[in-house]
Amino acid sequence: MKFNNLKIRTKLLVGFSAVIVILIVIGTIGYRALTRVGNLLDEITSNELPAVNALQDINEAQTALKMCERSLLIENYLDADFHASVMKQADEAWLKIEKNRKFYHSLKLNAAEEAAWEASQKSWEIWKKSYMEMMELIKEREKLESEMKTNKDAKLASKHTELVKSTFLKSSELRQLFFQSQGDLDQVIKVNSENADKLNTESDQLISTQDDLLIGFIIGGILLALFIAFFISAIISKPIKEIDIAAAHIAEGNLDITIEMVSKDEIGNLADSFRSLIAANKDIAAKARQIAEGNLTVLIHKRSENDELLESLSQMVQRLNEIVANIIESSQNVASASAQFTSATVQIAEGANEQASSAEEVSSSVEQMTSTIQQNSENAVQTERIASNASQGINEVNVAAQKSLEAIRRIAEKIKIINAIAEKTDILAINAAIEAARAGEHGKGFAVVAAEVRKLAETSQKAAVEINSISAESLKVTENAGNLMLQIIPDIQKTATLVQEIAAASEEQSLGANQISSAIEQLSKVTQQNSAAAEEMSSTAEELASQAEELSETISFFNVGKSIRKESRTSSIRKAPVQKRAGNPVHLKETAEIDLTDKEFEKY
Amino acid sequence: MEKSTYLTFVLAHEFFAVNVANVLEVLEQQQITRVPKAPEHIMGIINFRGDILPVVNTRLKFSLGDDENIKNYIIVFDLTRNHNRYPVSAVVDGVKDVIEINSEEVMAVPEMGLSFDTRFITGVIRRNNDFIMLINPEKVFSGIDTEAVLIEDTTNQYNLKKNSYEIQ
Repeated sequence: MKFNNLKIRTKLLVGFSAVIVILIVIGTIGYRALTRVGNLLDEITSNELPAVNALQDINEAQTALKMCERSLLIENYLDADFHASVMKQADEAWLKIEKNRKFYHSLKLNAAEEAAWEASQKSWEIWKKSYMEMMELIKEREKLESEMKTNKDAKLASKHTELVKSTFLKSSELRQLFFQSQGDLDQVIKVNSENADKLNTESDQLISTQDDLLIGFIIGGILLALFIAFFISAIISKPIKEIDIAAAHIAEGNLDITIEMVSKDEIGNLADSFRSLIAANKDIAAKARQIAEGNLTVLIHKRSENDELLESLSQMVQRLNEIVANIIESSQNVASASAQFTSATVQIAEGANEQASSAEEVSSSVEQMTSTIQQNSENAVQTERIASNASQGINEVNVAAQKSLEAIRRIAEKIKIINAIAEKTDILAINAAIEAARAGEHGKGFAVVAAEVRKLAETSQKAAVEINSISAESLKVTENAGNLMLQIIPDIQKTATLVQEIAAASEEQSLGANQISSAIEQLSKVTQQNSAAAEEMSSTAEELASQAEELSETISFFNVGKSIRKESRTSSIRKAPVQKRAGNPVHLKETAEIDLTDKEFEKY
Repeated sequence: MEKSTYLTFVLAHEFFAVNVANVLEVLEQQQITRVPKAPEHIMGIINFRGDILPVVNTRLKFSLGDDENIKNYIIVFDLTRNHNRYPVSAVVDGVKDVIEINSEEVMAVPEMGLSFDTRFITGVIRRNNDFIMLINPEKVFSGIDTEAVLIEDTTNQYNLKKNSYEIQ
């Protein structure tokens, strides 16, 4: 279908253009009908209506003239004023008739009208002429009548009668002519109204034919627009629905679908894009499946700069490659490590034996130490006792020193009294000597006595001074001794407490020594355990080696390219005997993890 | 050769001697009642055997510098002037001895710058490497400063004053 190959935009444009064309046709028809009706109306208003009006006016004026004529016919009846006014009315009517007749003739007239008009014009002119003649007669009569008022002449009266007679005759003649003219005018009016009727029917006919045409076109246009709308919506929605279903499938991960719709419009392009999307996703799925099957040599190229998925996939493959390489290297390392481990376990066993013999030696040394510490502790207790005894003795000595100090102080006081007595005695002796001297010869003997007394007093004073100095010295010495004792006491007490501390420390030491001895026992037990553990370790190393081999077998599932694989193979073969002894739970776990990831890969 | 007995005493580490004829008694330190408006070298008055005696600060009198810390003795002098006896007491640093002095021993006072007024000194003797200055108490303690205090001696008060003026 040719229309289907157009773009959606074009399709829409074509549809709307059709609708617009119909609209233009409808518009044109309507416009034309309106103009024509307008023209007819224009003719009616500008030509027919004024013509009718003019004829009407003429008719009215002629009737008015007829009235005037009648009024004037009556003799001696009218006063001059009324007569003048009637005459005036008649003149005005004539002016009106002439004006309208002129106007009517200036209008556009067809042949029938023209003919009717010619007849009317003729009869009207005749009537006019006759009317004028009669007016003359009336004027003459009136003139006569006014003469008759003053001059009652019989001649005049007969003339008046004659004039009245001729006026009446004229009037009957005029009446004939008026009717003639009136009939001709009626003819004109009739032709005119016939013409108007003809125009009216013509416009009615025109409107009715145009109405039919318009209604036909409007119905046709609506039908066409509806058809175009349904057609275009059908063209757009159907393929979009198909693509929508396909997109839902893709979203659910189902790539086993085909989009059959083929079109050259935008939706067709969209369908093409979806087809290529499905193909690309299928490609990625296939690559992922290959990776899941262990083929890590898959080449993944980015489809564009922004292709995060394939970049991530490529990085994933790269990482997996690295990880597998690392695992291979690690398994090699485990193998070599297990060999070292075995030799280490032998050394550990030897070390354990040496430890056992050393522990025995240490044990005997500790026993000796324990007995020494015991002795130390006893000695410390004894020393403490001695120190406390000494402290007690010194306290006693201190008390004695205090007492002796008191005694010496008292002695000093007594000696002061003695000294005072001696001084007084001295003064007494001097006074006695003075008295003796003043007595002259009679006092000589008394003077000797006084001198003796003075000597005694001086001697006792000297002795007192000496005793005083000695007692002061002994006071000093005793105070010193007391102070020294007081100083010694805290030292001794400190010694006692130190010795107590030593005793306590010795106790702690002996406790410590006991602990050391028990620890050594434990140590020897541990050493035995160590040697047992070394044997166990040796068997574990063998297991580790076998696990490493298993690991390398497992990892060979991954195809990482020839170079790495070959290397890993050869190395695993070379290290096989060593690996046999290896085995480590940690590495086991690693392999388990890798297995898990493999399973996960398979899921995808 | 004439012998006379002297009482020796100490004043500012110097030894002095006075004839016992002029000494009534040596007293131990006593309560001295101070007198208002008295001259500086009068320490006050004491009661001696019912008499009121002025107490002279000998150190000040001899211009030797006062020292209140030194334990002192009071010598009561028995002075006579114009056959009137009047006792005066003086404070000294210490009383030494009662000695006999030969008149030959007495040496003249050298006219040198000593620490006291030589007018009171009658002579100098030497004993045990020490110089002892012999003083005349009547010269030392005469004068209005001492007499003014002797208000108790009513009989000869006027004369005493008059005489003292004359002597000076």
